[in-house]
Amino acid sequence: MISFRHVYKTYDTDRHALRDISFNLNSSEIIFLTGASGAGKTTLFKLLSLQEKISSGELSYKNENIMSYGLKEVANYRRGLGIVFQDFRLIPEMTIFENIAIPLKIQKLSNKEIQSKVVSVLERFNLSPYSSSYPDYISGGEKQRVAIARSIVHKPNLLIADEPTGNLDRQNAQSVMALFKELAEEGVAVMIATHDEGLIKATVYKNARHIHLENGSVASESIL
Amino acid sequence: MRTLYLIFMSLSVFILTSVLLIRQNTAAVFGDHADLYTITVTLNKNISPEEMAAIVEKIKNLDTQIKSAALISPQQQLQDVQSALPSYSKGLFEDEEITYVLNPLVEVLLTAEADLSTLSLQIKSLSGVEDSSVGNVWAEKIKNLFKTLNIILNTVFILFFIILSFLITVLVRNYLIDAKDRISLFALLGAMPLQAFKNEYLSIMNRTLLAYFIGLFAASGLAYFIKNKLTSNLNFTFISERLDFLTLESLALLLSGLMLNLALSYFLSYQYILKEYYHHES
Repeated sequence: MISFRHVYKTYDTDRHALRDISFNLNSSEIIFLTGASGAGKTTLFKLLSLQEKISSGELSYKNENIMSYGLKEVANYRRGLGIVFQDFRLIPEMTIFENIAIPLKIQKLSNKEIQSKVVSVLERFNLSPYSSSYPDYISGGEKQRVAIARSIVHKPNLLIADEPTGNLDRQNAQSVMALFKELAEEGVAVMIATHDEGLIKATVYKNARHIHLENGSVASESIL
Repeated sequence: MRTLYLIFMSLSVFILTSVLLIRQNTAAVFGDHADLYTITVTLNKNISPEEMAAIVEKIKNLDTQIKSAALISPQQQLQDVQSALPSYSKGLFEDEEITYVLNPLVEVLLTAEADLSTLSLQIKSLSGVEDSSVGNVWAEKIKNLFKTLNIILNTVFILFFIILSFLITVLVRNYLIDAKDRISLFALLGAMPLQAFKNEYLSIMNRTLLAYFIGLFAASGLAYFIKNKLTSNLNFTFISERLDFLTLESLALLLSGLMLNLALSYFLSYQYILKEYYHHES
């Protein structure tokens, strides 16, 4: 599904954020990405979400070079993407329901469809009581669940999550991981950046891999 | 930022409208005293009535700024003096021969925009004309003052308009930077550029319209207040009668400015979002 081939990302002439990155991420696969701050995890996510362009190499999605995408193709590609941001990025002026409904509104679904899909994820994440609350009035853990709910409400092909369990207790973290596994089993390709080695070890899934980044390069890659 | 934008826009529209009102009313108060802009033409004594009529026609067709040209015969001049000064002129003009002393005159009325001196010289060069003089010397001075004031007001308006457009563009850009979290989120979730900033742009548009309304309302209110003061407190009714609110042309000018600003801010916002969140440059 996603293929990195000798990808380099350089910001200044002598500063490589990523160097010679090569790996594939296929449907139903989960990749855990680890590495210290500045190792290149965020840059890699920015490339995947087309927030940045690669400096050299090839980055393709379903065998298409995504760097050559036009405006419409960029928007279409992003519509198939689910992103969990580390800082949640919820809109404070919108209710929890409205925040989760954003990807569906962008895809111009009918109000009826939006209602049924949002209600369904609200139930799945035990967020129904907060449906009409505003982000500023819920806890960090609840915000994280809202952010995850928003990232999957439109059934993406590829899910990228930056520290998705960072604000959750062990029990909630495990239920989120269980959800990611469920999504992967449904055919979604999942990439998770995390510092939580315990979470990686506790994950039992047939198609899970662990990629460790150091100074912008792949330092190790293993099958879990 | 949003409140600042509203205040700044309202103030700018208020200043622009005020400049337009001053410009328009300066023309109304000083520019339409047609009786000030006259040239008195003295014709030769020995020309025939037909020649006089021909000269009057020539003068009328000399320039588009000439509103009218009227012949005043010596007899008419005598009648004017008699009716104006009946007690002094009694018996003085009974001798018909006195009319031979007087030259026939042509009174030329001009618009405020006319160049009095040049026209006077042109008229003087016509055959059958003995002399030509500007009716009121001070009228020429007022006219020049009015012209200068007009140029200054036009320059102020244009300068202010350019500065305002530039500042609005900067403010709109800042406005978008302020809303970048929301816009970038929409862009990352698959919105097309217009979808991503539609809400922000609509908000800018609403504020701009509101600011235009406030600015126009405030300037018109001030003009109404001044007009009332001139009438009730100072008894300058003749000036007050000439004062007017924005003409259709001025209103159209302001509205076209609004359209231009909105179109410019839309274009720049779109370019900014393309570059910032889609890495596209058109």
